[in-house]
Amino acid sequence: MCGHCGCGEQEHEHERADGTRHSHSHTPAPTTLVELQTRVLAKNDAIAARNRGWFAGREMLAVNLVSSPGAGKTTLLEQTIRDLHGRYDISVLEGDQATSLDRDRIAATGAPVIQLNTGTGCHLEADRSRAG
Amino acid sequence: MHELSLTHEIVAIVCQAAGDRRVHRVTLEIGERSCATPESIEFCFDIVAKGTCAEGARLDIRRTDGDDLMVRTMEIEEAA
Repeated sequence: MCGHCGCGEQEHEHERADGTRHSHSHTPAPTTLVELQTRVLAKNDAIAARNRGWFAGREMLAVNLVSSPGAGKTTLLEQTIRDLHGRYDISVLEGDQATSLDRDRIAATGAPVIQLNTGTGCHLEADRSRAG
Repeated sequence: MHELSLTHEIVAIVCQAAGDRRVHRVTLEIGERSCATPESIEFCFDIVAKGTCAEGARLDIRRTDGDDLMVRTMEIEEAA
């Protein structure tokens, strides 16, 4: 790598910060090519598979409810929990960036609810769901 | 926004495989239907790689037809 500009070219010419130009050639550091062939979500998928097994082992149906903010996820849940009261045991993992307002709404229906706050993230990874 | 998490995982995969050797180049394959935006991953990569074995590494991105997001290869310095 060129010590002046950090570029990887062997021979090149470019301007320095003071406006003067320099050109040079150098041999790049010897490198080895490594095949990785790794799916980026492999780790997440493995945790997600464990989560699915956890649910299946308890004969629980897990439904992932995702939409844009304000579409009505919590309203749909409130109504569903009330309509199915006494027929099914329903629990909720509530994922939000910052607040626990939706947890409070679900809690008011009497269903067990856990709030997960994702901070700057806009999604729940499998390990967060597992922690919940 | 999930590109930041994806990029953290990319750097983790690369650094785990590289040990303490410096990484010069990483080649990624991003599928059209992977829901990952190449520009966002490029943007995140330099920041996430800072202070790791992949700091300053060049990121090459190939677009593919599928839905996979894969770390294909990396170039690392030869063992001393």
